[in-house]
Amino acid sequence: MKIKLFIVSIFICGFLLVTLGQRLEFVEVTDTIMLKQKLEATSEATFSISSKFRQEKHLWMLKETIFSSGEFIFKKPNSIKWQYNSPILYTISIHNNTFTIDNNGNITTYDVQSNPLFKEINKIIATAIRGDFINNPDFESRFFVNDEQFLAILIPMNKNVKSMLNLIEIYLSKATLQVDKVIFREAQDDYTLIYFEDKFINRNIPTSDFILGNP
Amino acid sequence: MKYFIIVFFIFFTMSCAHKSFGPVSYDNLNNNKAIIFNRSFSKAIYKTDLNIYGHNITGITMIKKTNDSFRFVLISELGIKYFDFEIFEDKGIRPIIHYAIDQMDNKLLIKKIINDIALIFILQKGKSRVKKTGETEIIVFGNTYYDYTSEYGVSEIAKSNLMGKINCLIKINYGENKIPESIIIDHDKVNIKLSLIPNG
Repeated sequence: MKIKLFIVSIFICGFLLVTLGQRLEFVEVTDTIMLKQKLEATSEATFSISSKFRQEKHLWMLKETIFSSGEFIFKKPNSIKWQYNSPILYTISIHNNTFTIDNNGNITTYDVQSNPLFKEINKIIATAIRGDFINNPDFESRFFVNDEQFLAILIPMNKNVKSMLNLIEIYLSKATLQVDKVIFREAQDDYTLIYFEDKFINRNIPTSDFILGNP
Repeated sequence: MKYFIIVFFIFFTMSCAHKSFGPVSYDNLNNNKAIIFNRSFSKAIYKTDLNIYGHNITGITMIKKTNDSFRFVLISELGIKYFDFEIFEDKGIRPIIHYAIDQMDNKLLIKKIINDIALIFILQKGKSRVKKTGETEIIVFGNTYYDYTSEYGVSEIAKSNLMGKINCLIKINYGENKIPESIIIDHDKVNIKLSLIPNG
């Protein structure tokens, strides 16, 4: 009797593993036109995003992960702010073509246009978060789907970006078409994984929230 | 004749620099004093401020001990890797540059940064001289000077050029478990500041 129960349990576990695996496995999207239309519509309808984020920097060769967390806000057209609360206090704001850093009270400002690297980083982040990478000439893109998410794989075409990133993976909720997580993959199998949680869409965010150093 | 006088002057001043130090010693005790990261160290992460010729880069550095080397990996807060060096305890083994971001991939600059960082990792061997000033011992290996106290360990490293001028100065403060809590490396227009992130 006990042996029968054991064998049945093994079968059930195996069945669950296979079906769950199939649910989570991504397959390439065949009707990309329909998907692109949906993504464009969502992007058009999204004016602001605020969420918490968790970041994991995986250093493959060292077998180490560096964990960070904080809060993120985005406001159309291109204002973005990352506020790191752990393990260090650090805020980056991109607003009105200006890149401002608040490093534990020390504020530094850069002109995005005059710094090609910052300009490209800004574009990638804005593109990944807004989800408007459709027909974007800066990336070659492919789309995949499973039961719960869409996956957009973006391969950068820009030389500056290519030197830093091999590709970008954007995971979008199938239900809301909002970004759940982003993976920036680099050479040597290192990657940065960012989860977005507790998201609020189209909440009123004052412009002053993007200006650092305000009293 | 003019060149002979110059060369003679150089050798004379170099020998004078060490005259106030004790006799040459081959004592392993001095070798073991000139250690920044002790044997029990495995890894730590540091908030990092790097200033290179007026350009400021900030991020997080992971320092990890492997069998006979240290990995020094600096990433930006957003996770972009700036560089990844491997520096061996044996100073006879050349450091390895596993990665350097294109924008910083300047051989002379990278070499300068690595050589300075290496001073906090390499194990000194061979002959040394010592000068005692109160509680402090200044231990000299070639052109590298270590300020050492039994209470704090090495608090300062200075490296001089052939003319005896200090061109690299490193200041170290220790926290719990004798792990460096802050490290400041100053070399002309290159300045690196590392601040330990607790429980990082």
